[in-house]
Amino acid sequence: MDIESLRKRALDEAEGIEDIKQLEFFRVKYLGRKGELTDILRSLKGLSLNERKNLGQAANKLRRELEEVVEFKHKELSAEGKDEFIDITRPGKKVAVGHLHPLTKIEDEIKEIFTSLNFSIVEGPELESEYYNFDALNIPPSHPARDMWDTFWIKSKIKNQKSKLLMRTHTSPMQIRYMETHKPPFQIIVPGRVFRYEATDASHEINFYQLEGLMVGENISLANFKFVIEAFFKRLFKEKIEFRFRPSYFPFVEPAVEVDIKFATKGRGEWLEVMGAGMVHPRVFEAAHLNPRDLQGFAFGVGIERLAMIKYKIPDIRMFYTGDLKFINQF
Amino acid sequence: MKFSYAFIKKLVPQAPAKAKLIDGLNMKAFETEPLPGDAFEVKLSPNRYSDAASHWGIAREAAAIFNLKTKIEDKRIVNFPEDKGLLKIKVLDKKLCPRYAGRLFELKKVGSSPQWMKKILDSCGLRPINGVVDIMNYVMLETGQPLHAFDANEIEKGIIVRNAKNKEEVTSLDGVKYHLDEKDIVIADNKGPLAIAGVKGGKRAEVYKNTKRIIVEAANFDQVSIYKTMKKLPLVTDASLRFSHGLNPRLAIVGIDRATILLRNILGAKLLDSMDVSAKLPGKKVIEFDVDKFNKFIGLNLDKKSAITYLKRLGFIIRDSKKTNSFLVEPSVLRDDINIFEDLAEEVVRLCGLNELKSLPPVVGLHPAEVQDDVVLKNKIRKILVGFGFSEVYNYSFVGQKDKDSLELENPISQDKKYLRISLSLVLKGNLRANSKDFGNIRIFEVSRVWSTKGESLHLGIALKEEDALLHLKGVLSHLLEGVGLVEILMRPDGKNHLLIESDHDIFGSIEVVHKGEAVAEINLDNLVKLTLGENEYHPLPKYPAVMRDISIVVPTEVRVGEVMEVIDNLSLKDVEDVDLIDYFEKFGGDPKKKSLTFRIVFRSGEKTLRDGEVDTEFAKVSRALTNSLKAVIR
Repeated sequence: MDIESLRKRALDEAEGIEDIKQLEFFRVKYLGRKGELTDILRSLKGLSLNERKNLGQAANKLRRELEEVVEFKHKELSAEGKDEFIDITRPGKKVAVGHLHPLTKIEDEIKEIFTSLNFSIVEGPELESEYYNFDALNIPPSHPARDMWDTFWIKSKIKNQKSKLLMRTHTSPMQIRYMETHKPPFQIIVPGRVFRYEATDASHEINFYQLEGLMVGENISLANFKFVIEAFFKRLFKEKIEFRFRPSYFPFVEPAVEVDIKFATKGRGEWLEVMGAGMVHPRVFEAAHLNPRDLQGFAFGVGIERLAMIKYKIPDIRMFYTGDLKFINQF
Repeated sequence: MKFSYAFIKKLVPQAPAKAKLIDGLNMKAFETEPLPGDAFEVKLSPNRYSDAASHWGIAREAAAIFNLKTKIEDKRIVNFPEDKGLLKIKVLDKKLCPRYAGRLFELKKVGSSPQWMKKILDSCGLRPINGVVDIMNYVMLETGQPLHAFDANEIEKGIIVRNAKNKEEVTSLDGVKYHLDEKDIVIADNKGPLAIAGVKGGKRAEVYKNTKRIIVEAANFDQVSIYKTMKKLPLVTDASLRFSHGLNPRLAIVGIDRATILLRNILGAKLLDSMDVSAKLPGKKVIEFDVDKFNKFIGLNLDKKSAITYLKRLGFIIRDSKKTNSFLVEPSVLRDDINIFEDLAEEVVRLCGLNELKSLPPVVGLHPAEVQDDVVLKNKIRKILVGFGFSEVYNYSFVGQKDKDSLELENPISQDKKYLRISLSLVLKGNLRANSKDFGNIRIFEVSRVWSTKGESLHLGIALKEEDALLHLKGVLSHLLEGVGLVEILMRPDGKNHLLIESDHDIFGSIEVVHKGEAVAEINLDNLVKLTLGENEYHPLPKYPAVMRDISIVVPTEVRVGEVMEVIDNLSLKDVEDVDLIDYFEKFGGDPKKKSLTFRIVFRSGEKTLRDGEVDTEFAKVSRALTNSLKAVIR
């Protein structure tokens, strides 16, 4: 007798059992005194030692299995299971739920959109050198252009430090760091924390998050930037958006543009300044030891808190850094 | 910077209404906002002070934007007395002062300025003083060149431009005393300083109502030097603001010519003598504009004719335009910001209108996008912890507490944000405290950078406030670390309330037990990322059944579970799969000095079904060992 086919048949049959009577019939059929499995077990005596061992083990395993099936089914089908009083109107048990910080949430969403556009995600150091934060980005020392970025400087010295240290004022240093080690063409985004030495209010913080973007190739144009960034904002806000591009000034791009958006719906009629951008300045390519003659590309920077405030209608930037769970647990 | 709409309208008679002008500037030049009345505010780009920090400059922009004509009276004056010896100027360092033009005038009276001029000064936030001073200020507003007038009779033996001496003092026009050093530049005479060059005039030689003769100064000073002086004093004036951004030395003559005309026309002043001490002026720039390159760069389809039209509107000179698709451009002299092709491209595209640009999808070869390892790790950790009921907090990177390895800020914004945080634990404990008035049990975490003298690293901090906080934390950590691919971890006691988390002898984190109901963990993710790079690997499912044996023991309270586990571990029992503590209670039999522990030992062989006898032999070793080495009583 083939134990395996017996097992299959029995388990199939067990699936179809609908009441206690059928179950009892099933039990007798396989496990009863004259049941099929009992027969097999009984027949073992007449076999050789070797056969007895193999078949015996398999048959006994099946017996345990079928006994479990019968017991389980019995509980399901018996009055005991069916008539048990369960108050199905009781409220569900509280589950301890954790919440991602809204800035993580929006950053995740942003990263997803850009990954879908084939951008790689990299991060860079927040403690940065004056060279990467300013000099390499064509922001000359002792020039008022530097005052566009109020800077926290580091007093302490750390080992092997050449250039003066500061808390990075933007994620743009990663343009240089990435291009120093990667050959174009590429497209990256760099999310990360940046720092500004300024008085805090509802829209200014001493630390906040920025998203840097950089796309470089032989033919990457300002019109390409427009496409990428319009696709990004439309996906992020899932609303009808109008765009406005204005001239601007950042020493590391030329031409420089400012991007404003306006929501076409829901009476959100104001133009909102959301992003600074432009075409990578040839001196920035040079600083990263690339030849600007064969390359062109765009770079942009956007404040993540600002996007979160617009998206989630948060009125004050300082709420992000309170650690207050009453705020965080809303997201 | 403030501007008068009426003045712009005078310079560009066909200029549109104020609101439309502002909108045009906004969309094609600078961020511009209306102010009440006649005035409006322009946020000049830092590289445009040389040509645009003036009404003439903004008028030229407006004319270019709206394709209009200007009425700018920038005629050079000719045939005037020069180098007669009535006026002496000595510039000691031409690097610090590339140009110093001075003119000596005889006045009929100082008088006051006409009403129309006072109105413009007022719109731009300047207070009318007297005829001479107002003309100086007005010409600065008009041309962008800061000017200064000295009372010539108060100056001994002519003007010297030199470095200040250490601790040299100047009392400014408004009576404030400034202490200078060798890095500052002063305008002086034989007796001492008359003005802080490029920043502010001094009290001595001030023009007052009875002044008879004046020396008008239109100079050019080293941008860096003025910037440093302005920051150091600190003293931001209309002059220092302009000089610190860098002005073209040619502007000095534009300004002083205009001042000469106005002094003559309004005050009837007579020019007696003049001197122009100048270093070599910067040469003319010629830049090639390739239309195809432009179209490829910007993504437009502009023809050569249109490109030329836009550049001509800015007053740029076009040369050599016979080539099919390129030509040479000579930017106007004051445009110090135009140096390379990309600068010209910006001028063309902004005048053409950035909004006219189409959105074009980039056409590039496809390379797989990548995500940096630590970004992936952070993401995984966050998802796992949120699943375990932890909420994520963000805190400031700066703290008030100093550790011996802390980095310190040179310019902290406040005393409680003086140092870069060296760990996350401290602030997380603060978060627990702050939230405890609203919540009973609290589970929080933070992923952030921290710093020490060794540099920057990425940390994960986990904090919880609940019963048996440590035990929950340990459980969470094991599953978290397993979730990121790290199975072999050890939480090793290091002191009474402190544990180290290690894997393969790499310490990458620690746990601090604040008290029974509060515990905090700190993990260095930079170290962790190196340990978790491996992939999960399949292990065959167990073929043979497990056999379990429980043992309950009573031990003195001070015996730690870790010690018991170690004793069992050291036995190296055969076929042990797992040892678990399944029951723990203190005050056994009411005795506060005793506690009861129950362990479950799971036996399983990879080769066969274990027999009871085999398991019993091994298991018996456990009770023997525990009785012998820990004085445990088997229950």
